[in-house]
Amino acid sequence: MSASKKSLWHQTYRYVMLLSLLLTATLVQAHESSTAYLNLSTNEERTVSAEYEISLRDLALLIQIDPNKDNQVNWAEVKSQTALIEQLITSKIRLEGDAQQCQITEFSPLAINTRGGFNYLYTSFELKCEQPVDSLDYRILTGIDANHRLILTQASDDTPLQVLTVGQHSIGSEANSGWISTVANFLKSGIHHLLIGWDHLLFLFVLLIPAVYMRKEKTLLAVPKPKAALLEVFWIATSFTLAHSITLTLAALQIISIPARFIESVIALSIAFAALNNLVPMLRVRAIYLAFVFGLIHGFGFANVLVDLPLATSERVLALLSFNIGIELGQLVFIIAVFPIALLLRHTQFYKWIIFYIGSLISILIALWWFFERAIQ
Amino acid sequence: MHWIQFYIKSLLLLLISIQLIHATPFVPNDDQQVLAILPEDSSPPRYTSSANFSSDMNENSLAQTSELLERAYLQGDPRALGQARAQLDLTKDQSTETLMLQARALQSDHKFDEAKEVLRQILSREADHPDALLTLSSLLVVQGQFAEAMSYCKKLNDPALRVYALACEAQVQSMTGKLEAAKQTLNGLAALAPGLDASTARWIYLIQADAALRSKDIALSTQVFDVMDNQTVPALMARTDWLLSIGEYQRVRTLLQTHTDKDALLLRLITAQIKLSDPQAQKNLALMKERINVWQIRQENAHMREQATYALLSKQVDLALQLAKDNWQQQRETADIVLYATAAIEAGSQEDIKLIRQFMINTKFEYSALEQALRLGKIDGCLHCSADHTQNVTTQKSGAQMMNKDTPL
Repeated sequence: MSASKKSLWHQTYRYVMLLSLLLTATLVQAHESSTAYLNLSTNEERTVSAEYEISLRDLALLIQIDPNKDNQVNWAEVKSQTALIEQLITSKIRLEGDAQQCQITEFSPLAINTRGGFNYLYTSFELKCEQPVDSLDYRILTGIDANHRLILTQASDDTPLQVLTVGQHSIGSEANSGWISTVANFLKSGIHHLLIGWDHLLFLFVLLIPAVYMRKEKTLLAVPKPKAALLEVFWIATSFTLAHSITLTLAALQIISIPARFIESVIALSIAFAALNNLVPMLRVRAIYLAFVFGLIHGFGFANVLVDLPLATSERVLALLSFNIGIELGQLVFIIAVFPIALLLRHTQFYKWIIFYIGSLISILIALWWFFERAIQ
Repeated sequence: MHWIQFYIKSLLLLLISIQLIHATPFVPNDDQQVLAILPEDSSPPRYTSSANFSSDMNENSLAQTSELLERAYLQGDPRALGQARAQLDLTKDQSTETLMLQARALQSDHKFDEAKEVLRQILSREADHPDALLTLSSLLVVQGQFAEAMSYCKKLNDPALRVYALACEAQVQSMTGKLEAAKQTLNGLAALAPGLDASTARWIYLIQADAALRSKDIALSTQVFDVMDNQTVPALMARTDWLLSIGEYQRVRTLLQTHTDKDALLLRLITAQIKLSDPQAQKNLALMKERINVWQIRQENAHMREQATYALLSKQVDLALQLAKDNWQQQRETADIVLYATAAIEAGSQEDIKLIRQFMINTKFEYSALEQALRLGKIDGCLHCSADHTQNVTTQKSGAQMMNKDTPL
């Protein structure tokens, strides 16, 4: 082989060796890209609590956490670098408010969190900020991993999460503007409000549990086919939705105003009444009518979230619409979670005695407790 | 009562997911508890003391970047790809070698058009640059542009590169109606493989494994998997695809149970676990879901194959079909064709079934078990399973190629 051929072969062989890795099936069979997490909570007295999580695989690129070089990182090795880790965070994660840098005042002991099956170093620390935080300078893994991203969340308000590259970023205000974020925030808020509102859930529960039964001469009989029960639930949900949408709109647009304490107390009574109606049918009316009447009251309850918000009318209408859809979605989630179980168990004595009778009884007691708590205390 | 089973499974999955997503931080009880395994060839840490924090510049070399790209591929590690990209971002060098690395990084990032542009730039400088020719050809194969891919193989005229030229051509031929001829060529190349470097040998074996899978060739698969490694991700993918196609789920589970950190392998493990009614499948589905959530938050679109597979495994058929179709616009390797076909059949979409069959006719892509599944509108993860497959697999380990004609699926 001539010298020029040899040189060509040498060069080509080197290239080809590398290239052949990429031929045929599939390139990077991606698993976990480098991602870190920062959660900020603004407290009173201008302090901010921060939780920062970084994968141990990423941390190993920054700080020696495998001093014995056995490629296995154990907890003692991580802890031994606590001081350097704290210095790294202080140096590479800088929060600012009105161009004044926040100062880290205290680190909590290190811990581990597991995400997607991988272990992350979990650090939490307190910062003192003279002004509300509006900027983040993030420099972890600069020049080391171009795919590194920080997922920033802010627990104390409804700011949507941000996905950030390394560098300087405005946080909070920018992400919180525009109608999309209004819709997203109030949609989320609606779902959240329904799912954490135990009184609304309990009311739905007491309306749903008799839907799999029909009464025949004071006897409870399980419906033979799910279709009838499904229809009943559909009408209950529609009726409740229609009713609470009316009063929610009236109250949120400040057309009608009723004191919150009164509404909250009546909501508690509505639950007790609906549950009592399960045990001793008093009104002999179908649950859909009850759902409508009491839905009107619950609508005022939902509106309490929106009434005091400083929103312009157009924004308020958008917020109202999104919030209402959020409530419907939350309601749907609850029905999907509860109703199939009721359908499944409707023929059993367990359902009849434990869920239906004792469940209704306990609901009455809880609702009365809420009533006394809200109306009297 | 299928809806009840589905409902209960979904509820279980939801409960597990919530648990995973809201995992609370913990302090390990044991100081010696191993928390992470680092790659064997990982870079040394950047900072040894706080005094180094001000310096964010690295001394990089092309060799190091190339090693990172190699690790990204062999270990399925996108972190290594991110590190390679960071090194390339810092360089101002526009040499052919650097451009070649940039093309590879873009290809690995599924930025195919940009990668092709860089490769054409290299070829405008050196029309017979072997690496650029081979990479471009492979990119075009991935995208199903076989005629153009072959044209670049044909430009590898140097006799010193005969092995690569033949493998390049065989790869295209195996996808375009000349599977048997390609297998013959590959057999000859495989005989030379022990004398070649490990990566070139692996490349030849992987093309052979794909050919064995599509032609249900037990003898060839035995030959290939006897010599192919059992550690790298592409080799494990090929091996387990074969095992899944013949219903050897137990062996897949054994092979992959320690590889849950690699998504492509985790999805194959879940497939086997579902077939074995292993309760661990639900836990692994939740794990996969958690990772997909992060991709979605990061707005990464390089994982459509994995997302579509996940959707199929979690019975979200319509979503799976949509994702498989999107993936089909990007890449058309065997795995992508099978995925799209499976989603189309599961969703009962005649339009998509027709499109795939037309693609197979136009390109002469051979995969008789898949063709049969498309024709019957019925598919199983175990494409080669037949009434007598177990017997064949266990007793005909060195037997001849099995005939597919009229084999029930």
